[in-house]
Amino acid sequence: MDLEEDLAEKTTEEIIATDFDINEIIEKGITVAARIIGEKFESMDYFLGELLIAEEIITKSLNRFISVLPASDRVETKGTVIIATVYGDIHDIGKNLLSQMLKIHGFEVHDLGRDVPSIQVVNKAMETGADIIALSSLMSTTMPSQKEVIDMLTEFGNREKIKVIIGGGSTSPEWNDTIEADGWGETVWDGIAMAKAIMGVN
Amino acid sequence: MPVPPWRITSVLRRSETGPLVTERDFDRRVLVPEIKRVVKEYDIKYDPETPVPSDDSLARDVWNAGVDLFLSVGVFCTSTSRRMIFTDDELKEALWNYHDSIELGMGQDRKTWYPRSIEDPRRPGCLFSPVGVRCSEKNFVKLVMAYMQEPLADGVSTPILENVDGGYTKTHSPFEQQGGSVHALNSRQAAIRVGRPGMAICLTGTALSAASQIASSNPVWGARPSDIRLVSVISELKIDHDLMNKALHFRQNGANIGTLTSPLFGAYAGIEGTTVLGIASHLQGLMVNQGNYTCYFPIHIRHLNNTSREMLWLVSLSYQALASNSRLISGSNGFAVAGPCTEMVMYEAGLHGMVSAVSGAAVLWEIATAMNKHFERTTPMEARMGCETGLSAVESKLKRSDVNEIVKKILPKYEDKLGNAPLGKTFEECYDLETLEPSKEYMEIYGRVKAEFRDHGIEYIY
Repeated sequence: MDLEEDLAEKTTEEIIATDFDINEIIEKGITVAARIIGEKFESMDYFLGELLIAEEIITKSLNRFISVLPASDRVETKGTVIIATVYGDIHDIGKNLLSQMLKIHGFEVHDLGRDVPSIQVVNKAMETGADIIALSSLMSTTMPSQKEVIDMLTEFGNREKIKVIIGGGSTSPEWNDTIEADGWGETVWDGIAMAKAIMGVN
Repeated sequence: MPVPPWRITSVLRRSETGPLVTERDFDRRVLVPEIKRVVKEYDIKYDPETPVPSDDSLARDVWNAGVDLFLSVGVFCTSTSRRMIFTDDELKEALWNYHDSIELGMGQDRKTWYPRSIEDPRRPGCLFSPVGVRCSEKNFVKLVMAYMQEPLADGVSTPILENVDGGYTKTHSPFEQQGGSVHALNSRQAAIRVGRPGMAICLTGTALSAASQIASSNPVWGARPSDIRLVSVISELKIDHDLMNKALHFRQNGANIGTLTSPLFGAYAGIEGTTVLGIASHLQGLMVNQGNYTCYFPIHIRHLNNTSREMLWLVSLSYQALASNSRLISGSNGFAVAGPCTEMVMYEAGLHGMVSAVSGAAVLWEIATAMNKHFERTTPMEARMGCETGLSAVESKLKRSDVNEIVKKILPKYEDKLGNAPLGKTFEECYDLETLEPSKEYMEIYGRVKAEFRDHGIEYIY
């Protein structure tokens, strides 16, 4: 599979000119593409650069299909995820990889970037009615901000509504248990699997 | 003799005035295509059958590709979204003015590090490092003392204080600053207790932000100019103003700056591209981070190590490229998957030290264990194994081809366990906290693995 933006755009327009079924597009086109992209990332044939291009192609194509659909046929996302690298931490490669892959897999993702204050994460989650908060921390001294987000959600009375999954170089299953997060992931795949499991989707 | 900073005010200005670009475009339209271009143009290819290559032209190509990449991409400042661009002449000026050695520590504990060549018969420096492992205040001094009493250690890194005075040492909180001060104070106390009061200490890991780093500088109780102060490169080829503030403070107070450089294999590039990024990151360290030397820890994005076949190739080739084309002083920082008191971590440490030393690393900076993430899961034994094996490989006058053969024999002992490595034991389980002696069990493992290396041609001095 090649990542050719012009060809993707041309093909999208050709399909739109036919009597297309959006569910079939998602099932036989985008889902398959997401799987192949994932396999290439797993085998280290694709890296962050390719994921950025793939996500742009898929988003652009899907948005174009949706723009010509009647409102009653609009596609539902698999869930809303707020993702961020925690306060004080400027390392965001792992977070970026998960962010791109979640988008490719059909989640609505609000990527708040790196070094994000905990209250900003919580506010955004409450404002968007997010299902999941995904927090990355590479440094040992920034991990406590993952706990801080969970504590804030609890104090605001939203802990039951919003699941919190964590990852990043300094984190571990033990840390997950310590702060009572809803899941720890070592890899991008773990993150996607956790998000899908939380939402009960494939 | 200290290296002068390279036109520091000009660098500050470039972060405010360089070409404006979004970070996404920098990544997608500048960095990634340029990595692909240089790997192709310089025809750099990984060969899994030769984890320690002896091809001088390959090392030269990696250097040239790294220079090309650095000059074509520049460095992205995440605070201003601007690219800081440098010319070939500017880079040559900085490289030409680089020093021949650096000195760390004070008084009787003063040590000199110098650049080395490939298969250099002179011994590399040794830095014993528990890196960023979290540690309780209760065990901090004992753990640091255990590292500092190792005779081979020219200096030590120190762990991260997890809590202080009832609070997490959370970055940007007052507990970070309090933790940074206690960290520095306790490290100095440990140095005095082992009789090495002037020893160079990596300070201050608990203080991540520039404000807390600066607050921990104090000639009486805190970090001194003769200590090891670090400014990181944000992977890949990025910097921010907080890091630049640290560099400015360290330079203005006469401290040596070490650039922390960690290209990530599997993030922006494959193994060849990540190797080239390693060279370009060293050049960022020189020009932007204003570093006197580098702590180099390329990492596999999944296993968080640099002891696998392709990562040892990357480490070896990086050092061959640096050693044969520059005088840059760089410490090779090992990252092991397995934890303390396991045979696997002894193999990983031994190979990393040996490959680094023979390939031309100036300093053996050994070694993070258990993926550097598990509480107090580090001991000086792993650093001892890495440094002793590296120094003995040099004393044994091993060539790259000899090391390549040893690596090929040892690697199969752990290659299939990288995804499921044993986490081993904690410092408290491996050491007597009163005497600071390692356990009998650990000494036996260490002895067994050393005997295997000996069988393969490493003549340990003791």
